[in-house]
Amino acid sequence: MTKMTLEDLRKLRDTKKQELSRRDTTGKDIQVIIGMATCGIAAGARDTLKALLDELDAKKVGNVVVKQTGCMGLCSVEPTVEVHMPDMPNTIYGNVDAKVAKEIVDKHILNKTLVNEHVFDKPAADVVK
Amino acid sequence: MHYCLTDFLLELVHNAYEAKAKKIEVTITEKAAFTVSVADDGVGMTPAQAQQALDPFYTAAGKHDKRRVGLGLPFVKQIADITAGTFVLDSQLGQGTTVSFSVPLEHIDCPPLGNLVDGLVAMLAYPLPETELIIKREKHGAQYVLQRTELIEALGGFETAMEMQLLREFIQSQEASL
Repeated sequence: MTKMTLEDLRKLRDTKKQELSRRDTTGKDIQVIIGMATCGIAAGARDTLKALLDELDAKKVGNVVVKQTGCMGLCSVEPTVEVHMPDMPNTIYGNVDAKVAKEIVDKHILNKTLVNEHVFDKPAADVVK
Repeated sequence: MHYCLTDFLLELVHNAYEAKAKKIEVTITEKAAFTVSVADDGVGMTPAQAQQALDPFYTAAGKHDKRRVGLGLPFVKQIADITAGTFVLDSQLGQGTTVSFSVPLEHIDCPPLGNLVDGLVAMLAYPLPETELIIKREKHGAQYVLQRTELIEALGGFETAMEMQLLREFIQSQEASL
């Protein structure tokens, strides 16, 4: 792998942005928030973040905003991932390892269905089957 | 307890952000030992607070008012102790804090390094863009430097998955050059 310069990085960013703007606008209103406090890190949140980025990249959904946050008090179900997007309830998922992170991208973000067994908070009981 | 050395490092950098630092300088050196220093110009601590910060049943006032645990620094000190490494906490109220630790990589209880590239992505993408973060990484004499403001300028920010992926590619290329 050749060592990239900042100029290489700028060019790559411009190319990727052009590619994204040619595709549909999926992702622009989607926000994914990962708990990255001590409890999250100890439970593997860094791997969760990596898996989310990998899957979003693989599915070409680059415009999703990915943020880190501190402890939400849900230490027992870390790593946690919160998803905000149109047409879906704001949802907190718990015990999100790399596999579940990919499911969140595939089901929740791309197909607007909940990953029921990992929903920890927010949607009403009758929404989760 | 954290699984890998990268997670201990990530913990220290998060502490520096939470200390309201304007500038954080991180050095990561890998030789026979994995040596880390995280220096910030944040709020700092009194000697008594610095001592308390090593107590797992103490957390800084205002962070989580009803809790009585703070495990970050105790975890780091513990891993240094059990590997016969070193741990230094140097803090001055109103001036900032420097935390350093070193663990011998050959020690049987030394945790794995983990995925340093993804750890660095998480540190740089922490949602406080006004804080400068400078990371100096050295391995067996070769080195590279990452400066947060430069990278933000080059990428336009680290908010989206695309930008974070590009940041990761950039760091991977630096790491591969070592």
